[in-house]
Amino acid sequence: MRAKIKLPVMRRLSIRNYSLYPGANGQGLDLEFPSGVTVLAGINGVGKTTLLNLLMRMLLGPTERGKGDRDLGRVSQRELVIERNFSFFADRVPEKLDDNATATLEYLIGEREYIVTRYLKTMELKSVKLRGRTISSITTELDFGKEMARQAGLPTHYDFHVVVRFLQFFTEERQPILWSAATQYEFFKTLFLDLALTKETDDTFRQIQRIDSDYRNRLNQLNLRTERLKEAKAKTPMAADLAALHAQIDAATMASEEAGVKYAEEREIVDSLQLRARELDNELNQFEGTLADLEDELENADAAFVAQALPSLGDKAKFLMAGLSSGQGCFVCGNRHKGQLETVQKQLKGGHCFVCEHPIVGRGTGAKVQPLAAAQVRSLEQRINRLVAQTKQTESVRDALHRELSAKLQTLRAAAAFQSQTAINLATLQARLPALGDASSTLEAELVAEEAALKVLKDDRKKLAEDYREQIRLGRVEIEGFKEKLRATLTRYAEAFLQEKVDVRFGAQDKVKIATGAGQVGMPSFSIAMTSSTHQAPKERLRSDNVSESQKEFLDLAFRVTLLDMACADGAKSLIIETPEASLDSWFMLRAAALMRQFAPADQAPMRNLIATSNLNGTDMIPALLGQLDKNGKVKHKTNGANLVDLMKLTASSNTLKEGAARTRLEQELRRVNG
Amino acid sequence: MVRISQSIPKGEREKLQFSRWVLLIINAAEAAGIGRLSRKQLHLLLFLSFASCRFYGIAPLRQRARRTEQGPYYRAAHIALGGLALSGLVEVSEFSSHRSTEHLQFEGHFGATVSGLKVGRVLRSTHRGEALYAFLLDLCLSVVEGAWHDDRAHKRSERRSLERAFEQDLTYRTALNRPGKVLFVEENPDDQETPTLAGLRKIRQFLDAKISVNRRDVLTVYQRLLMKKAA
Amino acid sequence: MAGEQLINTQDMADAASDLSLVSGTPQERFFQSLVDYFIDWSVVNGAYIAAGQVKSDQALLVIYSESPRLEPGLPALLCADPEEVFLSLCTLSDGVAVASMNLAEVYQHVPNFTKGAGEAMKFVRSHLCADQTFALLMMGQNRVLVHDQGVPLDEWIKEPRVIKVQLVDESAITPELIEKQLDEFHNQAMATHRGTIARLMWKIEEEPTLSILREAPELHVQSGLVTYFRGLYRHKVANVDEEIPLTEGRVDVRICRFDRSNERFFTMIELKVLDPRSNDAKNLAWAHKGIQQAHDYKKTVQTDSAFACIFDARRDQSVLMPGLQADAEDKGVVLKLHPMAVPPPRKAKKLRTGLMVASTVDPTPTIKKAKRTSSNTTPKAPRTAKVPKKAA
Repeated sequence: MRAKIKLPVMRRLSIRNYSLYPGANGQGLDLEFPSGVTVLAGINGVGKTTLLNLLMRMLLGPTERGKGDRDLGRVSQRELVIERNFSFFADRVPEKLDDNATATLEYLIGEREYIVTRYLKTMELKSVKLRGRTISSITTELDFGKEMARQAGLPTHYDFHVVVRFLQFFTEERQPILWSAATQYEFFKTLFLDLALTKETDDTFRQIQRIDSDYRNRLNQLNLRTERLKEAKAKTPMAADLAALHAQIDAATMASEEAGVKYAEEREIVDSLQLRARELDNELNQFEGTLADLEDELENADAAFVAQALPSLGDKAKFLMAGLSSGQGCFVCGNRHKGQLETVQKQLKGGHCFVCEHPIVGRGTGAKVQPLAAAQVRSLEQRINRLVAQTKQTESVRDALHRELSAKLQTLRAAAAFQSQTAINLATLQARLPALGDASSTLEAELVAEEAALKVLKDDRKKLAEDYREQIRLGRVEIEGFKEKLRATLTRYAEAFLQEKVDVRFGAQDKVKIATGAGQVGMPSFSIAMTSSTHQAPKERLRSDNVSESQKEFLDLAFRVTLLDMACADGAKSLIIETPEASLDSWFMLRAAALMRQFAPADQAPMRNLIATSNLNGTDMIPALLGQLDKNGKVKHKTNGANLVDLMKLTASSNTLKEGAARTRLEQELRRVNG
Repeated sequence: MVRISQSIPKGEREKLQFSRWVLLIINAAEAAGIGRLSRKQLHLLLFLSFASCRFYGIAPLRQRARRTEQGPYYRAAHIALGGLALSGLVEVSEFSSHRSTEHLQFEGHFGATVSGLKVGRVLRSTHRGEALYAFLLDLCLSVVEGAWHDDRAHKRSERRSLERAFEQDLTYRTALNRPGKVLFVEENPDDQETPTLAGLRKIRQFLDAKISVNRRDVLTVYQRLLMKKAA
Repeated sequence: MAGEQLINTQDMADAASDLSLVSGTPQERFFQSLVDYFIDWSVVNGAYIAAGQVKSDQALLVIYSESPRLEPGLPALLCADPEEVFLSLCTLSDGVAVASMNLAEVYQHVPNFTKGAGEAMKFVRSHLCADQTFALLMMGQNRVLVHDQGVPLDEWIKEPRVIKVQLVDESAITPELIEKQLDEFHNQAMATHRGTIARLMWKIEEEPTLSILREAPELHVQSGLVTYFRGLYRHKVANVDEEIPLTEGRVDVRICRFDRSNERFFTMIELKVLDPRSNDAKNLAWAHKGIQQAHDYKKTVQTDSAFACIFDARRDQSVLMPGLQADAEDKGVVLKLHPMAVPPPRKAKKLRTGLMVASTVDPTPTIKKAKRTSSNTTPKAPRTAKVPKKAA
């Protein structure tokens, strides 16, 4: 058997800046959990459950088991996930929580005193201290969890989570342990059994699940396909139908071919139209180009024509000179004096304007320009006109062509659609033909191969199941080593509760299915048998269906307590209980209270404490828990080791009326006890 | 086809085209019986011709007039007239100059000469020249039948009312209302629309509903309307 | 906007109230303006005329010039002292005058023909040339004898183109009347190859080359027809759409008139000349086109009748065109098929001593719009500007 486990023991819880728990004077909540029993009393809605949750979450953080609420007994993936948007506590108050809203838990693991502080908004870690000093190596939830698991002596963070949450805490979300052989065994593995064997067992289990799941899926698929193949084969038409089908196929083939031909024709038409359209476009482009060139030429020719029609500078000069030299006089001013002649001549020869002396560049004498006949310019103009007319005509031809083309494109599209339709018809008809031998044989070969593969899987599964059984057997052997102790403890607790002699048995009579298709294994587990109240027949074994609900709860609690005792026998432990609603009759209730008190005697080392919540429901539960009543309901002298925490004083009161009434009730209850 | 041996640069081309326009307008004024044009009348008539030539499918020239106290002024016309006058193609009379620091301004009357008429005929022997002359002639005829309709009885020397009518031209009035020195005929080259054109089209629409007319008749009605407005 | 103020319906109606509406080539418009003047003069001097004060041989010769002042087109000594004429006074009724196209500028060079119209004709023969456009107004005969540029003077003297000036009441016009007038026009102008219009259209070649029609023959018909109608209806009737370029092949005359109830009617006359050079199929198509175009008019404007006047100048006119009539009837178009005599070619010139009479026998009349063709036969008087030979 393994080394003893050290589970966390609660010492103190503080809450600051959280409006649900404002505390006695609004400064926040401070709860002490000395050894012994602490009863957190309050009415419904005061926040008892939330408080317990908080306690739990302080140790676990915002983590969840992967795959959620699956049965504890059938876990193949032992993983935790961190819930990123954890808002359980933030949701319970109207105000938006800031970083000042914190909770701090002081607890022990073995000798180590830990103080963990978390932000209530997200349950994110604020700080982790060991003996007052911050542990700098712990920065993430996983770090924390791993460290806690290590200190607790549990194999993994997951195990720590499960043990704390489902063993230490007995709350509304509890899962039955006693009543499920598989769950029992889970805890055995976690708490007692050899780690290597545990790992092996878990691995084997996981593998079996995987193979089983795979096998079942593929088998399903195989069956479906086989079914379909059979169906298809079954649908093979009879000979006469076949002939008709063939005839239809022939007709459809012809139709398809015709459609194909028609489409090809239309396609050709469209292609040739498009070709023609492109040709015309090219022609028009050419026209445009030529036209641009011609127009350019015309501009030039026109200007040149005007230039040569108008007298040039030389002409003007000649005119002037003629006037001057002939004695007619300057045509500007009439002066007949020839003296100016030379001056003017010199100007002209030197290339200067005879009026303003500015040097003249440009056309010079008319000699360079070829005389341009009007006819030539006109012929150019005519060419342009003709080209313009031609362009217009070509454009209108092209436009008509485009109209025709778009109409033909419609036709083509229709032909394409029709062709496609006939092809589909043909294919549909052909599909109805019985599958050719080759095709089906391929299919069948595939199926056969798959079957063989599946057989292999099945064999694997079988083998693994065998292995698993062997591992369970080994586990059982191990448990045999300590079962006596366990049996004794459980017997004690059970008898204390039931006030009857019980017979705690250990065996592998409970069959648990390993996997859906993997057969069963007898899980070694404890069971309680008792004589029936009516006859001395052989002891009837108690099962979950032949005890009352509350008996069921408390027996399970007894088993937990037993496990806790076993696992951390020399160590301190905490048990946190949310007292089940009073479906117990008063007798059982007292028994239950006694049981719980037994778990946590006050003045014994090592420290044990039990934190229990209880409703004010007019029963004697609270006084009983506080030890003020004996198991028969008689008032005892007040004993130590019992704390009463009046949550109504410490939490946000939402219903003062109710609170007032409840307070009165509590006081009544307590007065009754205290006299 | 014979290619001309040299290429005329664009600036030169525009000068030549402007010279042709000026010579032909002076010849057309003669053929229509308007006779000599004062500088102001000539420039206004040029402006008017640019504003309405698209009605005949002719593109106006690029040159723009400047706004002056003495009416619109085309520098290009000044240059063209100088050349034409010195070449004896246009006759200048009653010349006087303005003291204007900004513009070369002058007054004078411009009329046709025999050589000018001859050269004009040469210019009219191309399609373009012919079309241009036909338009300018129609324009001048419409001025005579339109703006001078009532004046024909008077002595020629008293026919001075033309510029008053020309100044009422729609495009001219619009151009005057715009800020700046330059008088725009067309807003932008793509526009091709002028207020005068819009007016002419309106008149055409009206007339077509009543009688059958030619373009010249549309111009005539327009001139009458201008004259009426000026009065 | 200034535009809207300027151009309103009332003003436009006023401005359009008495447009002259001359139309056609410059030459034709010149003739039409003269016809208008003649009518004005007749009205103004009505009493004078009625009293028999206008002699039958009173003649006024008006010569067309682009610049009467600068280019009178007369011998220099006659132009020494031109007298400015104010036509609005309606006093010009004798002698020789030179006028611009729109008669805005008129100068009189000879105050009167003392010996009447005969003297006028001699004047023409002596001083004018075939290249000139002129008209002789027979003031006492209600006729204007117009001379088309290019027609040889001798021929013209013998056979001038006559425009009757005889106003018909516009409201009496009917399609039937128009048809009758079209026939008359045809007889005078088109029937023979020396008809007053036809002679402008033919190019007579030397044997063995056959005669052909010159370019744009329809234009001559169009001009002649319009001026002809002018004499009858003045501006109330008939115009030519000057805008349609000839390349469209549409040549029309529109008669726009108002009847007694002032309702407007159009009569459209579409003109087509069948070319001797074209083959029958082409000519047939051309004729059908004329019918179609006349029909198309009916759709666009309110017409009471549409004519397709087909002048048949084919060499062999015996080939019938049967479908034409049916087609015209189908389309509600009145078909007028007028045969034109094709002129025989000139006798081939045997080499006679030096006499070249080609220039007068072979007229090369040109319409302003028509392209100048270079003759490929005998040399003629050089074609340049219309400057008369003896200009100063």
